[in-house]
Amino acid sequence: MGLIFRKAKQWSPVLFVLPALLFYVVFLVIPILRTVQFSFYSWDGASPVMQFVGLQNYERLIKDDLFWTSLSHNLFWIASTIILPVFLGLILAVLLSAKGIKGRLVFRVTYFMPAVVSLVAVGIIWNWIYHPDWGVLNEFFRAIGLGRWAQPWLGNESTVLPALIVAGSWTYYGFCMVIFMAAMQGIDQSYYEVATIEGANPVQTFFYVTVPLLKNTITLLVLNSLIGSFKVFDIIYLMTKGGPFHSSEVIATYMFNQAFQMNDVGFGAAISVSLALIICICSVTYMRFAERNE
Amino acid sequence: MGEKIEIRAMVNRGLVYAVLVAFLLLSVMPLVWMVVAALKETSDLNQNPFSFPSRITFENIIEAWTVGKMGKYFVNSLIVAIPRVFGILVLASLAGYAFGKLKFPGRDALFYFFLFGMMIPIQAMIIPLYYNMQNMNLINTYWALIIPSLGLSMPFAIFMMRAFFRDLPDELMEAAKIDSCNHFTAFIYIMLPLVLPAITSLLVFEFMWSWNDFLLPLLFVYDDNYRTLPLGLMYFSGEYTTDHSLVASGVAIAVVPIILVYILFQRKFIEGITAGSVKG
Repeated sequence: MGLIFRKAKQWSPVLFVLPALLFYVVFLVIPILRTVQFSFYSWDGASPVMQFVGLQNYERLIKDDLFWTSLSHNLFWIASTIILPVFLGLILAVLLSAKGIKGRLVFRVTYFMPAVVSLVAVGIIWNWIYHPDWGVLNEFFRAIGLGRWAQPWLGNESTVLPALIVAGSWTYYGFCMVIFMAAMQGIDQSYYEVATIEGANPVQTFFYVTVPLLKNTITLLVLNSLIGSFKVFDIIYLMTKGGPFHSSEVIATYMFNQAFQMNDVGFGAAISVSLALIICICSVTYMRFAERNE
Repeated sequence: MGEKIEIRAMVNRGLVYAVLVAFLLLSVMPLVWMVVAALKETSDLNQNPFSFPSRITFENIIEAWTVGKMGKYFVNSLIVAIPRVFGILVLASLAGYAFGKLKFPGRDALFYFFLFGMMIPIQAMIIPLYYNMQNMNLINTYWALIIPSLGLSMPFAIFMMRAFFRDLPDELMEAAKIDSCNHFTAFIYIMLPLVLPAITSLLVFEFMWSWNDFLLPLLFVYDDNYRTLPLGLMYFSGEYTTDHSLVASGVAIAVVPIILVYILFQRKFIEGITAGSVKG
């Protein structure tokens, strides 16, 4: 009796975790397994029978040009996100941390503001900015005499992806800046004192003191951008739906189309599984790599 | 010589401010522009899209709120957000307390099992979730926007909650034991009140995510009566494409409340993102 009581007491903390675990398993873990299962079947989402097709969906995926095009757009998105908002966030954090800068709070609050706004609103705002006839961007080019640069930014196959990335970065660089600011507050000021005594100029201080000390934070933001760019969906779906002619198609929009518009559930599931695998492999590889360099 | 250096320092500082202010405007002007456009008369907006309004009018906003049903979407967003955020906080605080302050066999393994969910993109569960909702007859209900998110948000929410509880001193648990508290009473009467300030930062984040959630409502709700603000706004802006001041009003209705929440709780927002990342 006493033993049972002790056992029960030892396990009682599990009760606190149980409700969360229930929801987590039912709405996250089981759906993942079901997606894997779906990916081995051919199913239109409505018929009562699902036909087992083995690896056919994956074979189709590997031969599918659109899948590779979408993936290449994700890779482009990743590279741009690391260069644009992450780097910009770092620069702004460094400038904002410079001695004697006033109004830090106001700058920080406004830089992060686009990140709290619904992406539907962001999409509408940037659709207006890029509007071919009366958008701010084209108006600006016309005003400074570069009217020939004015163009339908979201309608051109060559400009649509960069245009979307700029809109996406607008909601992300403030986040990067906030993270860098927090990390920089933890840096021992004596490093900078030594750099000043050694006669380093601000650029040298940035590259030889700040960047190496922020390595962990940079790793974290690169990882975050990597995962975020692989799963990017909302802003593209809202602004171009992957068009024109798939020139802004990414894996998530492609999967959405296949699974929910074409009702090719099995194939959509195969895309989902591939996306999840790519994200897991990239995250783990990158973390390993970052750890080794420490 | 000294004067020269001083002038250079002043020029440098001027440049720094110029860059900082340029990006401040880049961040805030598009939002300000939308709100200004919402307050302008339609003819005024079409003639001078970038000027300040010659006369402020609330007609567009009222029309978007009533005829455009933005008012209904606004209420729907609240109906979804309140139970959803509350549910997440209850589940995650219980689990976070156990992970952060109690000891039990398999604790760390279970915690990593939860963390695993952070790496998985929503796309990997959305297809079966959709058919789950269909089978449970929850398509076109508020429940479809609430229940799945209780599971989907657990990895991040528990990760944060565990950090909050772990930061409390262990002596508190000893003291609670002496006062003959059990795990649950210690949680309710001692630990929970102490982490409340920290929980606020998770609360504002979960509220923002619920308010702005797009994918779940896109798939789970197509009846206009249950749409939340983002989806309502999407269809609304598609319907009134040519009426710019009305669309701007819709955007303003969706955006201004969350910006106000953000400004009021900005410290909590910043604490939230930095706690979730820098602490690790």
